[in-house]
Amino acid sequence: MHALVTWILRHRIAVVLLITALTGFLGFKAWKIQINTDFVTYLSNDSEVVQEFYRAGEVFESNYLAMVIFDPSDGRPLFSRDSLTILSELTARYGDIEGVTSVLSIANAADVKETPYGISIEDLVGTEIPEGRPDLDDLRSYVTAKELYRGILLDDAGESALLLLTFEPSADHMALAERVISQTTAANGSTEGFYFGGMPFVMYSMSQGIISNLSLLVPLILLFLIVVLYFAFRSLSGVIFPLLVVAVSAVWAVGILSLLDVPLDILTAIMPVILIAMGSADGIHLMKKYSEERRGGRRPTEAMRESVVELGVPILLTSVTTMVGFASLVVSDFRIIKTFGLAVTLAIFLALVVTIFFLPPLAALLSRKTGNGVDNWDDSPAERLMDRLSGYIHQKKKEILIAFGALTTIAVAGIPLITANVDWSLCLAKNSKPYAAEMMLRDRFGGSLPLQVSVKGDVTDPALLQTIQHIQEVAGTQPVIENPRSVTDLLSEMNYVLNDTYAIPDTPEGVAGLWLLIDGEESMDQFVGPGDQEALIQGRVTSMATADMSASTVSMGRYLSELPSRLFVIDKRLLNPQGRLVVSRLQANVAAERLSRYLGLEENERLELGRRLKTAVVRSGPDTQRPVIESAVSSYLRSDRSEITISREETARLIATAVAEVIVEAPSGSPPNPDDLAAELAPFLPETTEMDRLWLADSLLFEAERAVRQAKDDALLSQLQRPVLEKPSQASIEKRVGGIVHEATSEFAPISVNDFTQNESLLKAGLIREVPLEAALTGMVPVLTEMENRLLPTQIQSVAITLGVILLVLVLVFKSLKLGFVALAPTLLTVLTNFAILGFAGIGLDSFTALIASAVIGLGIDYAIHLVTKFRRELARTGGSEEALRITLRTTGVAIVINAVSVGIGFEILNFAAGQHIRIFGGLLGLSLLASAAYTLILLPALLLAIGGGRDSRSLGHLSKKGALV
Amino acid sequence: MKKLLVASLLFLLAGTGAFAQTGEDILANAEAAANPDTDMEAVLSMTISDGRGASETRSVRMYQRGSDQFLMRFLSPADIRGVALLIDVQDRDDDLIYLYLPAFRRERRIASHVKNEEFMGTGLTYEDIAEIDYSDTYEVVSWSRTGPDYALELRSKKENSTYDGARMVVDGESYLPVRTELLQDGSVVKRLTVEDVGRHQGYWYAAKTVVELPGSGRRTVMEIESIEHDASLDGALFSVRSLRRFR
Repeated sequence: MHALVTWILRHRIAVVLLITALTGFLGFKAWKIQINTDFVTYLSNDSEVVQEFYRAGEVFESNYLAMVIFDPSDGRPLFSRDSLTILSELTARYGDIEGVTSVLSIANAADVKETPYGISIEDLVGTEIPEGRPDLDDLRSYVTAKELYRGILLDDAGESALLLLTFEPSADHMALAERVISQTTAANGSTEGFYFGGMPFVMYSMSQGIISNLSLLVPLILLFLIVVLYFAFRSLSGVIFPLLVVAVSAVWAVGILSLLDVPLDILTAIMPVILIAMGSADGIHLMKKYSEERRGGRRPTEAMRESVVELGVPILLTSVTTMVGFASLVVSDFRIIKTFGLAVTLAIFLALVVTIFFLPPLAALLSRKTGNGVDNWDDSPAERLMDRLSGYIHQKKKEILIAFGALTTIAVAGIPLITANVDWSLCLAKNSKPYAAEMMLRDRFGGSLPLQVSVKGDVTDPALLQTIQHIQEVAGTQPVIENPRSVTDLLSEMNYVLNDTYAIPDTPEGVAGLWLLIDGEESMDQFVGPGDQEALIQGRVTSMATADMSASTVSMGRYLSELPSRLFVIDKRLLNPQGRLVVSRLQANVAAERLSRYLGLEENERLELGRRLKTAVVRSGPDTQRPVIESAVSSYLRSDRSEITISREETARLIATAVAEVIVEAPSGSPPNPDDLAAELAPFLPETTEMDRLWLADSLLFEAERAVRQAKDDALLSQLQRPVLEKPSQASIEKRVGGIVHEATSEFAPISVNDFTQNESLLKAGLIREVPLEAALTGMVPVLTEMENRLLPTQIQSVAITLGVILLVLVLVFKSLKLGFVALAPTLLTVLTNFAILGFAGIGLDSFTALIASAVIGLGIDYAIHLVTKFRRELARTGGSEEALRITLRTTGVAIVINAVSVGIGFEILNFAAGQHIRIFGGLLGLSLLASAAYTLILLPALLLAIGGGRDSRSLGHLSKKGALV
Repeated sequence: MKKLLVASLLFLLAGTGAFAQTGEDILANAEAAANPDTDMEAVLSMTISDGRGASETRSVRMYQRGSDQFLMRFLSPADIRGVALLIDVQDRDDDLIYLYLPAFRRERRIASHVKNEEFMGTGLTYEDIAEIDYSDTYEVVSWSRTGPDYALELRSKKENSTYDGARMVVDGESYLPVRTELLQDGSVVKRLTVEDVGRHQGYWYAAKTVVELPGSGRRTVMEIESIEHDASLDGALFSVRSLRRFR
């Protein structure tokens, strides 16, 4: 060390110039560094959920859902001509932005309705906005009544609307977010009344926050440190040099990241802040020693040489232990934490290089300009305080140890209270517009984060569509999942308009007919993948906290994993009565479950309902069907819709009786066909052609089936009266309940592999097709919950590795296991204290709060190493523990206080940061550093004295023997 | 206003090669070529690509009676076999559009004011396929000869029209519009290209037409498989009741 520092000081001008040039170059690179706030990239790419996220993004063209709330704030109602015109214009404008794959709002959402002129499928609001107030009020009433879009595109009160945008996965989302905002300004004149939310805008806000933090808060912390350090050292050199180390090493670190194409993310962006805490400590100790040497009358160069020689090894050791602390984060599954650990390790190494290579020659060169480096602390208040502290510790070491023992117990008690919780909304500043957007989205639109369930298979198959509908209903019952939607909503709504039935049609032909009408609609792309081979159920979660999401995703994941891999579609008409009964009972069970979910029934009510529905199914036999068929056929024959209109009531009645006979008496497993029925009709209709009778037979069979089905629906619905449906039924409830019941009376029933296998002999005659099914959670929510799942084990592993390695280093350096543990004790207690604060204060363990432990270990060990080294040196020199402790605390102790106070309080400036996560991080880290310093200055000396077992150098002799650091 | 589903889908049908003196004459000839006043029956295939790598081919039988009554019925794939659409534009103020879905055995009237909505995933709207009244819809801003063809710049005559205008290339021999670009805010939002022109029984028709939606990757290719002109179709075929008569 002596030779090295001598060489550096001899070539000080060249070294300073070289480092300055290097700093300039890396500073230029640092300026160009990219920012990445995409959460998905924070997990490793080999994570299955990340791969699934990207796959789903490719299939559905995006899973980055951006949301723009339009909440007219200038007194205009949303349903005014001006507001709706802007909404319509923005829908078009956003859609024209390259990289925006879809835009959905009430302006262009598909609306299926019955009008006096026929059925229409058109835009909900469209571009032709009515002018008069009555018309606008009518429109408002109509749109707010649309269950399909209420809470999705329009709030319940009809006062604010939402525009949903999807972005291409490969597009630059930051740039797209900016373009959406600029288009809003272009259309509206300003962004007043608009709130931008959803993941792309959260990421955009976070990147803005990172820039704001880096450009404003870091300089502010540095300024604060300058002031504090100046008051501490009372010399410019004492201020400038420690901070210069930090500033230069931060520039180098960021510059090197930029050179390596590693973007700043939400964690590496706080690396400069960490460096202020870590990097300045060595500089402060060095300058403190330098000032002591200068006070002793040495010349600047000589004083610096002596300081580096004496502190070089401790500085090296503290840097190594800190680097170990952060390098241990490489075990993390989080790419973001891994990168952060490596980046900070690099930065600490660079700070060491700068401290050794830059600070001594610079201090020697500039000593005249910056003062003599001698602090004016001859018996300063701080030193007098330290004298009193050392005396107190000497006298009360037992009491101190007992007190710290109690503190440790309390801290340990707080640890079980910790919850792993990554609340991404904390990345937004409270009272900021992005935060307001997030809260509005939660309050009015069910949240901003999409929860997606991918269902693979032939999406146009009714069996799969019904399953999708069931999954969607289960999702809707989860605590934080709101407004799940899928293509089944559109299909059911269309079926309701066409056939008065809110259900998926029974047959592929029925689905295909409806599908034709909505094929090409903008909203379809968000729900159905290419080739109709995958569907997406999209809900929203009302929280961005992973702890909240976790329960729902675990529950949904369990439900999805229990779904059968194949559905067996049974045509009940092909079964014998026993087989029909089996399938009908299974259908009744499914209906009871669905109704219970929808109506929020208790378990006992569900069982009662299931029992009733099964009974009703059994009662619905041929005898009850005959009069229903006769009535329907007779009615049809006398209507003008009939292919052959029968004017005589008696003839119609006779034909109806014959038709009912054919249908009811058809052999089991062999349903009547039109040709047979047409032959039966011939005697009644002698003047007609065979083809006309065939058309008529076709229609009569259909009408008969429809009537029988309706009768069955009515029979089941009658079972839903008291006590199940005690509340007055609303039209929307009746609509949905009717749909559920209708599905249960279908002649085509999808059943699971298990149900089929158990009853194979009865059901195989009715098996008409098998439908493969694969359903899984996808999108951002599993990615975020995966983060939460992996965070806690990762952090425990990282802290354990760090502590283990540091202990090993301490033991090797101090050549004493006991001393190693003692040196580690204050740091260990600080970590415990930090976790206890998280537990008692209910602050979630997230990727920020988890890092505090690593930072605290890194810095706390520095304090301990400096103090133990100094203590041992003074013990060897003075021979008395009391005097050694007094001198240690007067010198190293004061340096620790300066560092802890300046940096600890400096971190509180982060309370002005753009994101709440940074505020919590800054506040906790600042407190932890102060606690770490206090533990080092009180607990560590008490322990050192305690293990010495006495008051003089003989009893502590083993501490000073062969002291490598002395 | 003429509304011609079949003809507009296919740019079918013949036209005479009358020499055009003005842009308006050329447009009128194009309209006559694309929409001849004759009975016609044709089968065409319609391959729809969704821009995401998937495509589906549908087979359709179409009937046209005069220039006012049209019926199209899907023949395949099996799950949409029998689905039919009937358009009767004899009353110009109140178009009749009926849809028949065999799975429900119900014919339902479609509101005619939804003309700007997409028609069954084809990329075309009801308006695109029902309105070939070029002269009523557009005025000619400019025209020129480009080799044997005519190139027309058209501007919409109507307020609130879906399109601001169109660029049309009219084949110099058949007068069929062989390339039409429909414009919104000056940008091409839809492109119809006749890639193959056929002639049958003295009538020109678009044997192969490609509809593209620029930017979306969506594409529909329509090809005539068989065609019969002057088919003397029974008026009863174009009734609501007849929609069901298909097996």
